[in-house]
Amino acid sequence: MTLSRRGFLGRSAAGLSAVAAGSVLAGCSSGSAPEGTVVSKPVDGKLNVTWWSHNNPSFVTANTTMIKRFEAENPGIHIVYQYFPYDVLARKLQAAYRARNVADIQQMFGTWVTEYAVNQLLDEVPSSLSGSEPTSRFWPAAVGAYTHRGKLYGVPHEYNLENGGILYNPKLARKAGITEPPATWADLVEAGERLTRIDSKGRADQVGYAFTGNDSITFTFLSMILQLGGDFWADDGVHVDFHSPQARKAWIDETELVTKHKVDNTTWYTGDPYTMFFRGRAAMAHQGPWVVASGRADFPKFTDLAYIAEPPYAGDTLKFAAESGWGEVVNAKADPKVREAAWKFVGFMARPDNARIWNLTSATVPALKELQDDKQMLAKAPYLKVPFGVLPHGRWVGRVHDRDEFWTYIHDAFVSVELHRQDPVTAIAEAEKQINLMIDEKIGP
Amino acid sequence: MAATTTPTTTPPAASRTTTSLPGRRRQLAFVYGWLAPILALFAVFSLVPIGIAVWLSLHRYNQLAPVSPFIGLRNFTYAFTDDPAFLNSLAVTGKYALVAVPLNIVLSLAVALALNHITRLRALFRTVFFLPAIASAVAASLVWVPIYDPQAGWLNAVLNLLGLSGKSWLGDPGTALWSVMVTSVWQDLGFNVIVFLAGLQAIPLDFYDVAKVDGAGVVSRFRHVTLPLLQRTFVFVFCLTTIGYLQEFTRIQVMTAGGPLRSSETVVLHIYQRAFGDFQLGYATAMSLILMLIILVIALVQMRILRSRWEY
Repeated sequence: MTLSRRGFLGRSAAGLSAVAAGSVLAGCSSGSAPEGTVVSKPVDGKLNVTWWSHNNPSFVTANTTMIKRFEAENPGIHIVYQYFPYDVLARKLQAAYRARNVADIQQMFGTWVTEYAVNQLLDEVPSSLSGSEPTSRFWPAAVGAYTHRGKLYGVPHEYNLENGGILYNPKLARKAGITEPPATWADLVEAGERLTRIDSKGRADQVGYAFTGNDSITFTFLSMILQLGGDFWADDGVHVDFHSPQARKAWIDETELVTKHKVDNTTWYTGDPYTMFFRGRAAMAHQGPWVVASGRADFPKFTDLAYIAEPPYAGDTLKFAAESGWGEVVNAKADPKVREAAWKFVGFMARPDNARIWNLTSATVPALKELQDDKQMLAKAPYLKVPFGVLPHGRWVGRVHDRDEFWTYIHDAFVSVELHRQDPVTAIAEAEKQINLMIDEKIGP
Repeated sequence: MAATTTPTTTPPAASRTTTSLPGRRRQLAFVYGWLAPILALFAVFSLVPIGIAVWLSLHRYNQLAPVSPFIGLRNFTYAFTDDPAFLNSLAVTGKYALVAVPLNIVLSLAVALALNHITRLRALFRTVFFLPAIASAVAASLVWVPIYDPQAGWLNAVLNLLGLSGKSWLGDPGTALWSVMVTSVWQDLGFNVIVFLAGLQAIPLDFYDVAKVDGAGVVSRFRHVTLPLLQRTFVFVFCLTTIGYLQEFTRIQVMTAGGPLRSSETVVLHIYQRAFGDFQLGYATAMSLILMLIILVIALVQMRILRSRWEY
């Protein structure tokens, strides 16, 4: 089992980012919540607006910081804040919308939003907030899942990246005679081969390029297709198409990383690629920038860390697909006055000065275009330089319907090739068939 | 002259207990009055949920959508025609139960027989075997995961010391299910040991004495005395263990999450993922009903085959 960023958020003991710890967090503390934690209660004489979020400590700290700042500017409005474990929140939202007792504002993961928007449960973002075009203020990848039929139903706060950066251990590289980080795909494969050490029993003592986590396999595959000039969506825009020449080439090249080049193996270790890296057992690991802060917090003694740019697989730009990350939505059935106040708060959070604090505290990449290459952010989180460089090349992954099933089918196809249970073409054709069946079932007759 | 008399007969026993109609009504009212709370509980917590489950299984239920269209038996046919993962999970569950149930029963009976023959430290050994059974399945699984670790687990360390090469026990589709099965049998053994031990200790010693007088050896006494007299215990243990393993979930979820390649994905795990991962509640309910029917049939067959026709 590997840990995705979403899964990571489920860990209540997740460490606070090093950046946040050094700056905004002073004096603030937040523990994990068993089922749900009430941070504040309604106040008589004020307009009370309720807000639910998940319980990742750094997110909670960022959120409570926003509340304090907002209430100082808007004394007539009180944000009644409550947070829940990730899994509980996901289920609670479904049940609460069904029972019509949901909070006025909710922090939702982008991929969830479309389903709620389609069923007309969310309030449309006021044009004063969204701008003339949602993509004029926010990156297309960040805002994609918040959009339905050209209308915006929530405000994203982060650009949920899994591509673009690689954890790199310069010490292990130097030991293997590699002086410069890989600049091309060929360099990356060669470095991965040289940095993999296999013991006499045929197992890896050290992995050269750890990328076989559930998220990385899928995101790398989709990115490779896009870089070859292809697309993973069929002409109807609803189903996937992995039969294109680009998809086939991408898939064969990706699976050969383990079958031919042996830079990683899904059965050599049971941990997550990033923990393997921070334990010094992986020289490079494909992972989003969120992992830098988490790794530093979880492995404070580990210092052999660089976060380098992921070299393009084809062409000269790293095109990739990304999910939309966390952001705020407002309940369409809330009282009009409350809705107005709710959007005021969401708009306040999306203001660049506040978004900067929120992103730094939560160790996330900003969804606001305006904060790209922001000097203040780079001063406090220099590792953001790499992701900032790729933000314009990302696009929204599209409506995958069932995110977990979609990713699992591709992951399982990869493992079946690695274990020589299926040839690459058969495996990816099977994954395509299953994903399309899943989509058909979700759409219904 | 013989007097013609209407024969007076003693009223039959049954009629002696017959009460008048109002009295019977009062009796019935009394019985139903006392049964009412438990019937209400049964209706609210069993019948109504089953009814809702049947309703759900016939609809495409999406909690967020304003309507849930009726789709008849589509969820049931989908399970068998368009969801190979469900058929795979049935096969995995079947394999799991077919191996783990006999293994558990043979081992627990062997341990119970051994404990039944010792007098010193019996309580200690009984406690030792029973301890894993009182641990939560999550805790037990978390103990075993590091044991199976391909890099740092002591199972591979021991194998390496013996000159054998280790494996990625939970990461290899060929061994993942078997590895979880070992944990299950280890944890569940204690409960069945206690039940078998109770059964063994309830057998009157006279039977063994008579068998000894007739010249029966150890094997013969086990075959012709112990096994038949344990039949009722067998029915209990067999049914409970089988039902438990057909519903295996926690250990699988913690140790492998059904992977790799769904090689350890049991039916209940698949149902859980569809219900709470994908929110396909109608479809998940249909699969639950299918599993319920399977378990019902298996339990009835077991009880029929193993039923006891005598008392002692």
